[in-house]
Amino acid sequence: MRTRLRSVFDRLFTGCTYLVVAMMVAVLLVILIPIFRRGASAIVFRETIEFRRLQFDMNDRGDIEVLKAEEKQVNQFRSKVYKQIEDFKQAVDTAALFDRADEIYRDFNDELRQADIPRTQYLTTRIVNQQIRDHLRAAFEAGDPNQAKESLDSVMEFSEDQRFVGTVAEEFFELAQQFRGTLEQIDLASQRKYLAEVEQVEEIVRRMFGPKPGEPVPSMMRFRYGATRWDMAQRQLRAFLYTEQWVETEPGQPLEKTVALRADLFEGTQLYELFDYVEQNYERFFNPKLTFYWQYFIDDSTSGRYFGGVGPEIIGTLLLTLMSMIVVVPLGVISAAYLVECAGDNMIVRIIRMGINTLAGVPSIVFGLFGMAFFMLFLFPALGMSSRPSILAGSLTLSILTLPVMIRSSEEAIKSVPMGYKEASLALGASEFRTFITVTLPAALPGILTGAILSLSRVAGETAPILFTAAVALGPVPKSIMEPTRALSYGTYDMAVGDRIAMLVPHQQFGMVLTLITLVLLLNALSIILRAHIFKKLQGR
Amino acid sequence: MTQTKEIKTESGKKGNHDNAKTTNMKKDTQNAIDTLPAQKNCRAIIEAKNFSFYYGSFAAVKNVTMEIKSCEVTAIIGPSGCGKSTFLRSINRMNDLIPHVHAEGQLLFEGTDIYDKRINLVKLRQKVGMVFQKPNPFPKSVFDNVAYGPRLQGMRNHRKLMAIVEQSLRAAALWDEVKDEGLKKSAMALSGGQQQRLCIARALATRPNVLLMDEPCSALDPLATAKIEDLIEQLKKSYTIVIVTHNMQQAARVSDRTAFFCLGELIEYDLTPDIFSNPAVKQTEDYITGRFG
Repeated sequence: MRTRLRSVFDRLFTGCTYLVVAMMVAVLLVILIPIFRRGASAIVFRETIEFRRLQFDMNDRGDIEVLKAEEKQVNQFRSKVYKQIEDFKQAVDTAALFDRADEIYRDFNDELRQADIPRTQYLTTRIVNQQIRDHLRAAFEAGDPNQAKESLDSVMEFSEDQRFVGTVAEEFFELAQQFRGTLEQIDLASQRKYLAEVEQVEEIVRRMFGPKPGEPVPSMMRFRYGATRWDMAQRQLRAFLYTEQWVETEPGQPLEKTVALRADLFEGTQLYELFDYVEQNYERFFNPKLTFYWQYFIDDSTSGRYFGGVGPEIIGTLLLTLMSMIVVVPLGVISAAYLVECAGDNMIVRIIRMGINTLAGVPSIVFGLFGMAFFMLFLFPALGMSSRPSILAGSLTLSILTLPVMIRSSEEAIKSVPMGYKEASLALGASEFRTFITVTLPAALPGILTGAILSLSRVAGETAPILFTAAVALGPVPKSIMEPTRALSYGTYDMAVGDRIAMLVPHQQFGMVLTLITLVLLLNALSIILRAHIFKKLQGR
Repeated sequence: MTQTKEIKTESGKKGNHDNAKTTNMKKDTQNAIDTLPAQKNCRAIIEAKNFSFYYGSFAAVKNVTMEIKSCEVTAIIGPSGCGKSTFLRSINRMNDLIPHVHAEGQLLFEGTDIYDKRINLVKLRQKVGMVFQKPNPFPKSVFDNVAYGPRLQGMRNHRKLMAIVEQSLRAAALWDEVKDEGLKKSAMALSGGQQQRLCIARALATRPNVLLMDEPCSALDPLATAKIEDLIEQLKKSYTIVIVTHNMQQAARVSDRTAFFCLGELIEYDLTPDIFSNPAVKQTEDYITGRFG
């Protein structure tokens, strides 16, 4: 009976451990898989022609001839969109028409003044000119279609007039004809609404295709190109096809958000077909191709990180990490060696140990502030160096942060070296120092490397210590260790908090996070392989 | 205290090179297993005169007076905690690693007091080699293990090192097993018995006069034990061997003289056949026959 109970408990315990391990793996996967999936979209995605343009402009990649041919092809489709919008806008925008009428009037007056005609004719023509203009303007201003049509009719009365044939004034009649057509299609009352809507459509088209050909190049990089990625282009297509409106369903109740076809807003107008046209030819506007943008890891980003890669961030993170490793590993090992081999068990040593343990639990932001106050504002100026944020200050701060971890693990590693090794070495006549260097240290190396791996992972991902001491959001690749740098961890933070660009280009932020994780994984894998190699050598296998 | 010791050993190392040349083991370099009859330079190489050793206030070795002859294998037997290991380890001052220890009386090695403050610890330990209970080769290659001692003495020439390594391994009867590829292999890959013989070779490579063995076979199987015992038989021609053992048969087989320790005191010390066949003290007889301990 008892043994059966014991075996039940045994199984229960084994089951629990399996469960816990499985849960840990599941949690890890739940966290990591989305990061990897979304981060990978920064590297593998469908690029559009806008992306190829960007790559050519920024990095001189791709063949300009091919690109130009492609652009020509794409612009055929795009120009149709532009034209339709332009036409519609012209028809709807009565204020512009109003001004146009005035312009024609003045142009015609100038023409009359130049023309060699009798004074009386000049004067009468001028009066007629003014009349036509006023009629036309009345038509544009009229709220009622019938009234407008009447005014247009009075304009058209003059269309047969010989005085206007072959002059600028002919445009009056074109305008009148056009407007008559517009009146057939749209409700004059909703003109203003149409105007607002078409402006929105224009904005979305700008986001899709970039600035209109012939327009001046915008100064901000992110407005220079349209949708560079197919997923972004699709997002814009959705915005183009559908519109969100707040509708009052019941009086007195809160407004409700409804999604409607944008095309329905333009029902009955000539713009209505545009939406079908765009939806059907959408791929032709962009010519998307699947791409593997490995240059993401070496490219600089545009200001604001809207486009481009994380090259400088990777370099900065590597520099910070390796620099702090160079400082922390020897320091940690020497401290641990002192604590294990030399220090006895007295008050001072106990206080030192307590200090190390406390240091391990201090929040990293405190280290950041300490690093700024001590290295940047006190030590460096005292040594005649600049007190700007720099890689040196950042990596020193990071090394202090991770020193306790390093000391503790090195201590354990040195302690775990069998006494027999040390005895054997001493019995052969070696000094204690020599014994430590030639026997204890090599035997403790795998354990020390474990500590180094732990510190390395922590250092690479830390943001707070470099916040004040080393990191900048934007800037060139550092040329010396006395310059500040960009870093992956800080970049991720900045994208989310600084200008909130992460909301617009989530793939950029996920790409950065993915890069950071991959970098840490790679560095870890490297150290683990090294450790395994050393361990194997020690074990003689 | 550790600091001063370190300085002493450091300074001692510089002089080692010359010392190694002048040591009387030099004539053995050509052939490790010296064919000269051991009796030729038979003298008292280690002498204890009223020697006591304390851990704090506890006396682990009490008032021991004995002579160890250079031509003999001396076995030390006794129940656990009787101070035999402590006595052995105080001969090359390995007990110094333990805090709060001190010695009283005299323990002489070749006429000089081992516990003299001015003694060169490095030189002493090179002259008095030690083999431990558990095989403890360094996690390095076989070659590096054996060459560790000579390298400490400042020997860098690979050919000379190779000669010493070969000679030491031959002396430890391990050469045939590792001579080809085995030298570069890690010592950890060897079997327990091989590891122990490697440790013996490593101790021999510093050309000691005395070899202290602290229960060298207690972690080994009977076959490996037999090999080590054969080895002791061979080595006693060239080295003074002091062996601590729990195994009475082993003491009877390998030693010429046996010392029986009990509760830190030396009870009886005589030729091995006499001790085992005709012990003078009742306590010894009880221990040997298994009625006590």
